[in-house]
Amino acid sequence: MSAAVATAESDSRLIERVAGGDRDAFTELYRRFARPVLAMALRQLGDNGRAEEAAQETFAAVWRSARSYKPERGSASAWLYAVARHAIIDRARQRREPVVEVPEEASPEAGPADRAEGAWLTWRVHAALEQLPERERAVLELAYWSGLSQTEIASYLDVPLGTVKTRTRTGLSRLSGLLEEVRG
Amino acid sequence: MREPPELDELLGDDLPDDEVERLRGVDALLRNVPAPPHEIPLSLTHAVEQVAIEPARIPRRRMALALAFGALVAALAFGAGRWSGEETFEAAWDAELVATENASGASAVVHVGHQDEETGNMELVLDVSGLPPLEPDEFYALWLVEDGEWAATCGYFSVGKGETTVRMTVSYDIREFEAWAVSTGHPDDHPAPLLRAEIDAA
Repeated sequence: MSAAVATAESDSRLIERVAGGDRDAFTELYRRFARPVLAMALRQLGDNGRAEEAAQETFAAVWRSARSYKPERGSASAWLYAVARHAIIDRARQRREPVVEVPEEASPEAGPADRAEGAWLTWRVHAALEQLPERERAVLELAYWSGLSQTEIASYLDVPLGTVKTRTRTGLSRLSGLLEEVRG
Repeated sequence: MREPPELDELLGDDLPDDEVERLRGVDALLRNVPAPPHEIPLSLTHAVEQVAIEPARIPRRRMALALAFGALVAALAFGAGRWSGEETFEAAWDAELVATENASGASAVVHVGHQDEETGNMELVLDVSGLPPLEPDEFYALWLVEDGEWAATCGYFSVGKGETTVRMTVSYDIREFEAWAVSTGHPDDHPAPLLRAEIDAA
């Protein structure tokens, strides 16, 4: 897929363009949300094959139903979350299995600590990560989910230690801004 | 799994205190959410690429033209396959759809192919006739119903005069649904079923 769409474009605007049949916008939306969708599906469905199917159905539903998105009713991220949640439930229902853990609605009031395990909070963090430049996202993922020290990351990526520190600070700062914006 | 380094180690010791405090919140978030998938499977990307080839709902006139063209291509391909002897479709079972009061005189048969052992895909051939003419910006869809609700689409199509044959491929296990239904449009538009049949693959 080509990503010919400026990354600065809002999710909301992208969905509006998808509603008009714009495939470039759809591709960019997929780039931004594929990992959050797949992550949620994997947690709820438990196996790669079904999670992939649910993710596929999510984006099929986005393509079909983008026109139903109303910005005044909520954020684009919340709308996508709801679409993904429905697709995951549908996929589980086909196996006659109950789906647990997926909240009814994306709550904009989710707190940072006590709701940290919540699907919506995880969704927001994963979606925000996708908006970081790849070089910043990589160092944050290696630090937080692989437990690598800054020195180990520098060695792994074959970049100077100072570069790793700069990318970490910049990435965290940018991520902080993105998540504040989502909460707002 | 190893714990992530402390925030102080990540940031170094030369950041202003207020900036460190600002980043402490996002640091806590990252420590408390699971890792995102490392990679997106190429198979998913390829499948989603195909999604955008399906008719979008908005440019309806353009979509109708695309659907008509798609139906024509499908019909031609199907006919050509039959004619050339290259057609390998073999129905495992058939389902006869009965017209509802919304489409009296219409009829359809779905021929369900064998499930591909490797991919799980099932090929469908829908023979349909007698459906009412469509508005230029409308289309038909073959749906799978579960718990009385539209559950999954098998594909969209337009019809011509006489009998129309449409080929579709789905990744669902058809036998897990309760009924077929043909409607116009999308479930969001609350369509009434025009043709329907219980699924009894036996």
